[in-house]
Amino acid sequence: MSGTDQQSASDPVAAEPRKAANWRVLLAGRNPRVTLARACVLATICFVLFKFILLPARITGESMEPTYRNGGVNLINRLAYFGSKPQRGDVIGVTLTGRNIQYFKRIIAMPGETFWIREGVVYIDGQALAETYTTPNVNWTTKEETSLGPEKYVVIGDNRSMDMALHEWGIIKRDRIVGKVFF
Amino acid sequence: MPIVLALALLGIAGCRVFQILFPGDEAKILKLLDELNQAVSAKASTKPLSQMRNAAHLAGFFTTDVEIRAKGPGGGVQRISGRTQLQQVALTAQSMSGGLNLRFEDIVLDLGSEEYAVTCRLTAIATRGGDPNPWVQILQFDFKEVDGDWMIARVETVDAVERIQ
Repeated sequence: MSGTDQQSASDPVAAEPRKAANWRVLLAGRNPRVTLARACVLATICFVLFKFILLPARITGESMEPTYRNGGVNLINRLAYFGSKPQRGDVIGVTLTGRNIQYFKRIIAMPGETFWIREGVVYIDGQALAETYTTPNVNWTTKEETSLGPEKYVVIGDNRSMDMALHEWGIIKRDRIVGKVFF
Repeated sequence: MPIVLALALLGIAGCRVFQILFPGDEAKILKLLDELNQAVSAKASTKPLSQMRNAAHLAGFFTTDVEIRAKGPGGGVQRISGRTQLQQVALTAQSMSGGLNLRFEDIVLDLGSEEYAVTCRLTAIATRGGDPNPWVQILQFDFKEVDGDWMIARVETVDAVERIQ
C-alpha cells in the first residue's frame, strides 16, 4: 500500500463521499437508469397482474366457512376459465355490479342438470352429491327439483350451519362468474 | 417549456374549479348517494332526537311519491310507498341495537335514459353492529329532477343470484 492510500483511508473528509456513494449504490444500484427501468417494468407487471388477472379479495362474512374464514385474503384468477369451463366444486367469484364487491361461492350444479336439496343432501340428476367440504344440515330442503338451463350454474356457500333463508345462494348465469378462487 | 407546463397546469386547475362550481348531473347524483349512505348509517349510541332528525333528513332525498321495493335477508320483500312511510321505516332502522352501517360500491350510472330521469345500479353493503355477515344486494335507483334538484323516485333490489325455494 502506498503512503497516499494510507492517508486517504484514515482521512474523514475523503471517507464521507465514499459513504454517500455506497448509499447511492445500495438504493439505486450501480446504474440508476437500469434500476429505474427495472422498477418501472416490475410496477407495470404488478399493476397488470393485480388489476386485471389476479384480483385481490378480502372475505367478509361466514357463508364460506370452514373453507374460507371471515377476514381472510385471497385472489380471484380471471384467466382460470379462459380456455376451459367452470367445474363442479370450483370456488368462484360472482360479480354484482362491478369488481370491488363479489360473492365467493362454490359451484355444485352445472348447466343442463337437475338439482334438489333434501334434508341437507344435494342431489344432482337424482344422485347424492358427496360434499367433503361441508357438513350437511338436515334443515336445508328445497321444495322441488330444479332444472338448469344452458349457461346456468347453482352456487352455494360451504357453511350450511347457517339458516337456509339467510344464506345467499341459487342460480347464476355464466357471465356473472369473474374467475376461480386462487387458493 | 416551463410556460407550456404552467399553462397546462392552469388549464387543469381551471377545469377542476369549473367542475366544483358547476357540477354535472353525474357529480350531483354521486354526491347525493354519498350523502344518502351517510344519512342511513347510524351509530349505536345515537340519541332518539338525533334519530328523528336523521330520519327526516333521509326522507328529504326522496320524492313524495317514492316507491321502494327491497328484498331483505331471508328473501322477504319490504315495500315502502311515500315519504311518510319511509321516514317511519328509517326511524325504526336507526333505533336498531348495534347501529347500522351502509356503503355503496361499484356505482354504474345511466344518464341517457330520459331527459329528466337517471338510473343507477350499485352494490349496497349493509352491516349491523355485531353481525359478521353483511347484507349485500344490487340496488337500482331511479332519479327524477324536481325543481332543479335530483331526487330518488324509485328503489328496488335486483337479483344477482336467482333464489331457489
